[in-house]
Parts: sequence; structure tokens; C-alpha cells
Amino acid sequence: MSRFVHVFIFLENFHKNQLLNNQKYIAGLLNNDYAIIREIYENYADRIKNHVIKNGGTADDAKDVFQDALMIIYKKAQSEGFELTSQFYTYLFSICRFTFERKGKKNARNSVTNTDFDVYTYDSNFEEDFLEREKYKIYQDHFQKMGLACQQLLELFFAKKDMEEIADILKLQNAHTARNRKYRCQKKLEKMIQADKRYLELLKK
Amino acid sequence: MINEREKIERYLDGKMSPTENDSFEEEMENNPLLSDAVTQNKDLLSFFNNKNVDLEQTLSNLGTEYFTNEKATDPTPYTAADAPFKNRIRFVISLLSLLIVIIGIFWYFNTADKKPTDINTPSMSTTEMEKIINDNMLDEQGGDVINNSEDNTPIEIEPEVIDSKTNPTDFDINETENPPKKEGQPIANLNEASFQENTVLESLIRENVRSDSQTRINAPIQGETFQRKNGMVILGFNGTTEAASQFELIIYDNSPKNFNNDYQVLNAMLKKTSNNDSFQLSFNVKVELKPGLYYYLIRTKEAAEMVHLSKFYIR
Repeated sequence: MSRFVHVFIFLENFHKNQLLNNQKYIAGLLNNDYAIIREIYENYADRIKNHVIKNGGTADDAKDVFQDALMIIYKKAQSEGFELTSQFYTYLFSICRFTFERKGKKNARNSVTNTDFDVYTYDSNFEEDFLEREKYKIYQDHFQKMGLACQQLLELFFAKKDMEEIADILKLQNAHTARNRKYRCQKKLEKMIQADKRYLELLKK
Repeated sequence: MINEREKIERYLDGKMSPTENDSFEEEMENNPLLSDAVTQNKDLLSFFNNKNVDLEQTLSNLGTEYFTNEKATDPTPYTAADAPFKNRIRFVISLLSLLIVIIGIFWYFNTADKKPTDINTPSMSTTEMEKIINDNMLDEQGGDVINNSEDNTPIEIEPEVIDSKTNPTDFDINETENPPKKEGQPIANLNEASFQENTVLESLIRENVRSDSQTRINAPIQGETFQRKNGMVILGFNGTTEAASQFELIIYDNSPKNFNNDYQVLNAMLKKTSNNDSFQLSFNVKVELKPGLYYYLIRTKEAAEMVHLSKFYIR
């Protein structure tokens, strides 16, 4: 009987260690801690790469999928009450796998096999997270193409500065001018995005 | 248009009054263009909220290092033709690992049942042990400790190593249940209850709770018997460790009730002396203990992590 108690204690400690690792990695992402994030890559990059390559992807696909997954975890970790109940790697792998399949690599679509002994959990939010991340990347691409003035203005506006303050910082005539400029910049960005094929693809699916 | 955009922003910020909110949502349902505009605004908002250029940069750098550098685990490009072969190898490997795990579990449970102890030192006779202990005591305490005086102080112990919290009454073991026995009595006549094994502790001992790789406790060896002289017994504990922590020694008697209530017979810190790159652990004490079976555990002071659990007898 007590043997099982001992095994139970062992499992409990093991579980505690896992949770500590979870916390460490999450904190590493939230604080952009280079050493901890490197540890994540060191421990898991190869496993994800193997999975992607085995299923018809390339190392570059694996790199993107890995980065996407970490950004999704980062985003989730920012929300209040976020708690990772599974092992960090299980969660990471699950998002990577979903993202990779969802991106619909032509030769991989129907042949994804879970050849690694990885535990795969499915979360109904994966689709939502995936769409948000894909849109994010499209916005990011186009935002970087904009002029610096527009970038600054939009950054300030979405950082919840009011128009008077923005006008002051950017040395614009007044709040009204700032509002007009913001309107034009936003319009421009939206037009670029609407013309992006990837964006249209996303909306279709 | 600016007005419409401001409306959308107020809606997304939750700044609309309930009635305004309702009518706006109704308008959205009837006007796909407005609905699209809201979605786009939401996306834009989410983009700026989640924007973390620094983190993306870190990930991108590490990604290049770990994914695109030629330290690939699979040097040959993977082709579909390899699949059956690789899968077969994978299957065989997994089968073998499973087999090893099963054998391991069998072995573990079998040996745990049959062979209760496995102490790090070769076994030593009691007299040899006593000699070592006595020598140690003489070294450390100028030969003063081993005295066969008849005094009735409950316990004689190095004061600096005794936990001040320890209640002196804790040393009275089963006072009511086990009336004192005369010395030299045959064991069979002694109170058998004092020698009864504590099942919980016994199975914990079987579970390998003993010296970890960093810390070895060499004495007392498991099941060692200490002889009383005039009601007093000299106990010697020693071992070595590479760990930086301080170690606590706790002795329980065999009573499950006392163990459950954490009534300790003795609680002391092991003396730690530096010895080249490791530390010598020792603790010697002369105590008044009734004949019986005792369990001792050694754990780290800071984390209370058990590193050793064993037992000894007093006759």
C-alpha cells in the first residue's frame, strides 16, 4: 500500500517540477528572457522540426510554426487567470501541430501522423488563436511598410493617448489634424491588408 | 466616415450606453459593410495590443539559429520512400523500450519485497561499530562521554546540536505502555511491542528511501543493534555528503501513533566538517533509551527533503 504512496509522492513531485518548468517558460516569454527562451528552443526545436519534416514540411516551416506557437502562448499568458494545466511541451507541440496542419501544406494535409510519442491535446480555441496569429503577421508586414509618421501616430493612438497629446508629441497643428491623419493612415493600412491574398484566404476558410 | 469610425471605436472600447450599443449591433446585422469595418478595427486593435517587436525579434533570431542552421538532426532529406523502413525501426525501438520498462518494474517490485536493505557500506559487526563509535566519541569529547554513571538525567547530549524545540518528555518512550525492563533480560522477555515493526516506516525503507547519490550515511547500518550500559546507550551516526545543505537527524520509536503525531525521540543537527571536496557528517550521543526498535531519518534542514531512512535496535 505504502509503495503506492511512495509512487504517488514521486508523481506528485514530478508534477510539481513540471509546473515549475511551465511557470519558468511562461515567465520567460512574458519577460522576453533570452536565456529561458533559448532553453525552450534547445529542448524542443528538434522535436518540432522532426515532426514537421516527417510530415512534408521544411525546416523553415518548422521555424515559423514554432515561433507562431510561442507567440500564441505569450498572448494567452498575458490574459488574467491563464494557467497551463498540461506540460509546456504538450501544449507547445499541440499548437505547432495544429498550426502546421491548418496552414495546409499541400503534401501534408492528409498525411499528418503522430509518429512521435507526443501527447496531443486539442483545444477548441486553437482555430481562433491561429486566425488571430495569421492576421497579426499580415498586419505586421504591412504596418512595417508604412511611413514612420503613420506608424508613430497609430502606435500612439492604440496606446490610448488622446488626440491632443498625440498632436503635441508629433508636433501637429491640433487634435483635429491628428484625427484626420490617423484616419488616413488607418485607411491606408486597411486597404493594403484587404488587398493581401493571404488575408482573403483566411477569410475564406 | 470619421464619425462612423469613432462610433466603431466607442463600441469596441465599450463606451456606448446600453441602448446605443443595442441599436449599433442591430445596424451591424443589417449592414455587412459596417460589420466588416468593425471586424477590421478589432483586428487592428488586437494587432497593437499583442505587438511585441522585441519578443518577435528574439524568437526570430533563435529560430534561425535552431532551425535553419545546418545542425539538423536528420542530415539526409526525408523522403516518402523511407517511411516504412523508418517506421519499422521506430516500432522495434519502442517495443524494446517497453520491454525494458516492464522488466524494470518487475525487478523493482520483486527486489523491494525480497531484499529490504542495501546499505552503502559493507556490513560491520556490532563490536566493530561500537569501537568506531567509541573512538569517535573519545576524539571529539576527550574521552569524557562514555561514562557509566547511574545518574537519572533523561538524556545526555551535545547541547549545541540538540533542537531546542524538542520537548524533553519526547524521550519518554511509551512510558505507560512499556514498563522499564531490567537489563540482561532475554529479548523474548522484553516488551515485544517495543520491537514491533512500524509497517509504514518499514515499507518506506523498502522503497529505497536511503542515501542519495550525493549523501551517504554509513552508520548505523540498517538493523544495527546497540547495547545499553546502565540504561544508557551510545549512538554514533556518520556519513559523507557533497551537498551544501545542513542535515537534521530525527529518531522515532516504533510506535505508529508517535510517528504519526511526530513525537520525536531525538532531533539534532548532524555535525558537518569539511573533508577535501566533500563533507564529513557525524553525530555522537549518549542517551537513555529503552530497549526497542527505533527508526532514524536524515533530512535536509532547509527543504526537509528526506535523504536517508533506516532503523536500529537497542537491547
